[in-house]
Amino acid sequence: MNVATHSRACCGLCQYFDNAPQTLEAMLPGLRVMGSGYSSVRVNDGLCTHHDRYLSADYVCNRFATVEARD
Amino acid sequence: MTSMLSTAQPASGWRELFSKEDWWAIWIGLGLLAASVLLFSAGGSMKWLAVTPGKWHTLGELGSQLTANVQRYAALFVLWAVILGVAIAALKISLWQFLPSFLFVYLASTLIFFLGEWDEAHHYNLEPPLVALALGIIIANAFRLPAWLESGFRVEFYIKTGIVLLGATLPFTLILWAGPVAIAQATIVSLVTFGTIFLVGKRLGLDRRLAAVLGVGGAVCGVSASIAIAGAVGARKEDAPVSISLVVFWAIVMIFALPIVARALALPTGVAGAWIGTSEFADAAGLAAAQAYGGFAGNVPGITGTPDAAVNAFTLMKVIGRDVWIGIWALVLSIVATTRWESTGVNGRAGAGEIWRRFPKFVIGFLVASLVVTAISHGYSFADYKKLVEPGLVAPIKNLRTWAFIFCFFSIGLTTRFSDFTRGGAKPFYAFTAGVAVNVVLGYVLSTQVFVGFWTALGQ
Repeated sequence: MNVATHSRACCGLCQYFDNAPQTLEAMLPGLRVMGSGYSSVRVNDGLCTHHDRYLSADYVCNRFATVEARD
Repeated sequence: MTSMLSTAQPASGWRELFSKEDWWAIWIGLGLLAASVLLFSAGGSMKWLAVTPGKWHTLGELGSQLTANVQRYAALFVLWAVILGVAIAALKISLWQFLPSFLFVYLASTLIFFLGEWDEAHHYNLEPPLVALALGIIIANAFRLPAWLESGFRVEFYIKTGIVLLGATLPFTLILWAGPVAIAQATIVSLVTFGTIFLVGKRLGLDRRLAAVLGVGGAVCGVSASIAIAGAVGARKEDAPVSISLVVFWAIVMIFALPIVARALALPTGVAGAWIGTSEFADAAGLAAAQAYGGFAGNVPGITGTPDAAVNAFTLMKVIGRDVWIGIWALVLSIVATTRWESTGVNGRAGAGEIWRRFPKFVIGFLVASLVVTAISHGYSFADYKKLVEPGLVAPIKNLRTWAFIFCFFSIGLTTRFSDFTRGGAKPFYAFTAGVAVNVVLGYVLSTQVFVGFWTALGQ
């Protein structure tokens, strides 16, 4: 999907993006010690498995793919 | 193409009210306050439920206390289990794993609380926050705990709930009076600490995004800042854990080091609390250090000020002075990362809304609790406040706050793994440590020299 033509084509809706708090607490060691996956400051940030980055759900890139696309 | 994982949802303002622990800390803290106010208005009090150990000298006295109050401790466990359990279920954490885990936390916390009330405890430095932390660390690193048992080790949830309750014991007028000084001191230290870590990191060849995550982790609010800024700048997956491990390492060191040094220098409790608030890296760690130091007042010769002053000064410095600015840091660094730093293939679209979205919402509960109790107290003379409001309304809330903090301190220990500290290599360690050195010295100078009169007065 072309990011430029789809205003909702953000990472938060991409199939490569995972922001479940349980997943993040398991994948980011130490997060639970003095922080939390359920914290407000984290908003809806998550992991992009395509770029291997931790980023905001509002980020965009040209590799966006809808969740439905995998089915 | 790698695995398809997405459980992602776009941001939703209203859903956050029940999907983030900050808001649940507010509902629980203000709910307990509302119940306490209602009982107080009806001529009652939460005193029976908000039980805490009293001073004891012999094991016989300890046994008598336990026997006499066993029903109250059981009722308090049920209260915490129910209100925390509702939140845990709403956060979609397994309630059936949480409840037995929380029972373990509660029983250990009770033991630690009683130990702290032994009349010889201060002689042996058995401050409950430090004992809780040390015991948790020993258990976590000496034994392999089952995964289900870790469900109840919710450090941030307990500390946020405790801070909301802390608001009820802190006059709003004090927040207005001390807030500007706390903000000024915190701004100086935050900017200098961030600048030190970022520039040293860059000089050592670290990626700018990693240097920024490290910088804000040391300058603002530790783990929370690390994870928030990692998301805002689109850091590599491994950057946040590197920063988190360094924050946790130095925070644990400072929990023990700052009270020991402050005690050796016989700093007044308010001054020591301000220094800890300036130079600790995480709310939970700093509160452990501040509460431990507050316990020295009246027990260690030469340390002046009230026990609460250390916690109050710490909270003003850390929460009001440093934590609330995380959204501004995120906005600025997100814009800089997108417009000035090397492209990573992903682009941020941060706007001014970022400031509110990343605001640590539990602070709202802290301020509301303070406003409510201040408004209620306003109708009483000082004598009546001391005779009626303090024992009937404020003291039970303070007791519940103390419980929440002990749950937190024990959970810090239980989630700390020494093996995690080796992550990241030497360069991030050097950069972060340079910031730690500057932060501790500058925090000391500002707390004990520049603003010493102010923080000393707070403790009186």
